Amino acid sequence: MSAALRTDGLTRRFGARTAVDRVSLRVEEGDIYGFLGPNGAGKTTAIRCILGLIRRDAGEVRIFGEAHPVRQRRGVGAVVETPAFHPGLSGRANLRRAAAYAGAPAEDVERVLALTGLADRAGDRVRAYSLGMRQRLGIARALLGRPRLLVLDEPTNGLDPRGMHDVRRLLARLAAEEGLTVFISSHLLAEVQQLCNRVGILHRGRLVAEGAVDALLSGLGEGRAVEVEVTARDPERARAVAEGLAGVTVLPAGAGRLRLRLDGLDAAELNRALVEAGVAVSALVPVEHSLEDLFLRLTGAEEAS
Amino acid sequence: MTRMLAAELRVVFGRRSGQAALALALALGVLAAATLHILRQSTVDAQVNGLPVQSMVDLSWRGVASWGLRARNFFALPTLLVFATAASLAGEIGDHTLRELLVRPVPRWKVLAVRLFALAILSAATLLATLVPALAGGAAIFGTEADIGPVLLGYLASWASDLGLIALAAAVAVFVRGVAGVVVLVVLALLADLVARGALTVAAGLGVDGAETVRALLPGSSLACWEGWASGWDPAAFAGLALLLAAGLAVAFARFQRMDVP
Repeated sequence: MSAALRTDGLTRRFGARTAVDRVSLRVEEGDIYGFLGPNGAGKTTAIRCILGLIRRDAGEVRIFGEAHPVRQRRGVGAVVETPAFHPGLSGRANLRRAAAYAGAPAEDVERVLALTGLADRAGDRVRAYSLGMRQRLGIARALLGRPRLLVLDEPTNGLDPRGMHDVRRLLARLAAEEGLTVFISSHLLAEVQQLCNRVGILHRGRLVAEGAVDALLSGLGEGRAVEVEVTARDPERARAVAEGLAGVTVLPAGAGRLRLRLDGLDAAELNRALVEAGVAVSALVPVEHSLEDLFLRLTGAEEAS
Repeated sequence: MTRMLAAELRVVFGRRSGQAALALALALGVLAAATLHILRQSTVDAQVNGLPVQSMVDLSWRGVASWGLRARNFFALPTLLVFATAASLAGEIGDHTLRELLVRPVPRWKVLAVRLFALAILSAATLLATLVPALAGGAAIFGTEADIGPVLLGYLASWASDLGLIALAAAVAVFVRGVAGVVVLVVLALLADLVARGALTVAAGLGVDGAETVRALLPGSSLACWEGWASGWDPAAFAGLALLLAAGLAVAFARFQRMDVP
């Protein structure tokens, strides 16, 4: 089966600067793929190359196996940065115009309005819409013509927490109910970790990691010391005991919290040592690595090199 | 393609430039009829070179239509057409609404062609908006005896001239971000053309070979080809117009096909 989206050696230069540098990524059907990177990493440029909005200097893009630049967009809906509309036209009129270009039947407009919860306000001019509503209208427009792949560039940019939550929930629902493959770029790591099953990390135009989120995070722990957080009735005594144990390093943590790095000692042995020293341990929790850890490690390594 | 064109027409006619162009065209048609009616009724003994003004003006429905056409083609309406073209291309590139259409499975040439068709229809609509009230008013005031065939050909040539202007504006609009920039550049180009034509007229007067031919081929002369209904048709002006149209469209399509759209 061909990938939903595959790029091989995708490259784009602006003068002497290489904004996208030989990026080869693969998004499988059904994935919610997070395309991560700090601001200026080249995410939007890569997405514009993928969508044919800007020229690529080298490389190939295939969408569901199709390489033709126009035909490959048949199965794609996209929102690039802040979606743009004719502010003087209603939401519905804007979608009707887009439907004409998408080759989607006129009835599809009402379907996507209902899907995105905008049916009640569809007759209002877009200039009266909030940022969150515009974002949802952008997603509605992208859904015209029943695409199989949704490409979203920073879809929660500028939204308040409520708006971000609504967009995330909408995307998760679309992926589940409509069977969409979603390619979403973001620099909000927590957002991506909540939503995506696979990620690619872009740094300075290069793809520095790609894979399933779980696999990448478990790989982060391999060969490294384990970190735990201890909750004890007497944290100061617990700290004093831990400092006396071989293979334990006390890490900086917030007030009343005790974070330890264990090297050559496992959590059970630590627990026994604390209890034997008379410390009442109420919780001992391994610290889970986040995408942020992975991201900082990868981009930090790049900075160092 | 038909649905895309219908969608574009809604946008082009919905814009202020489109609405202003239609309203102005309509007003000029009405104004031409009213002005000639007032002139016929006037008892003021106005003379130019010893001749009464009334004898110098074609007081017929043909005259109303021809004055309507002259007024319609004088500066304001062509400028509004340039505005409309700029808004359709540079404006939509600048406000990113064009980007939203280019991510669809439609070849870029079709996206551009649909816009140019819509603008051509806007131009035709403005010509009709002047012609219909001018003819109706002229017929009511002066009757329908005069032969209006030549002036109708003038309207048709005027539409061809508008297409040349739209092509020129489109060629500029694919290089410039911003509506005002396109309008200023097109106006400056036409002013430069005016100066060049003036220089060529002087050169022709001095007996320079080919100066008259080159002058006729310049955009300003080509865009005035519609005046031939009264002064005699000039094939060189139409050849120049065809050249302007072909070059403008070639530049616009070639650039649009390859340009980066932010």
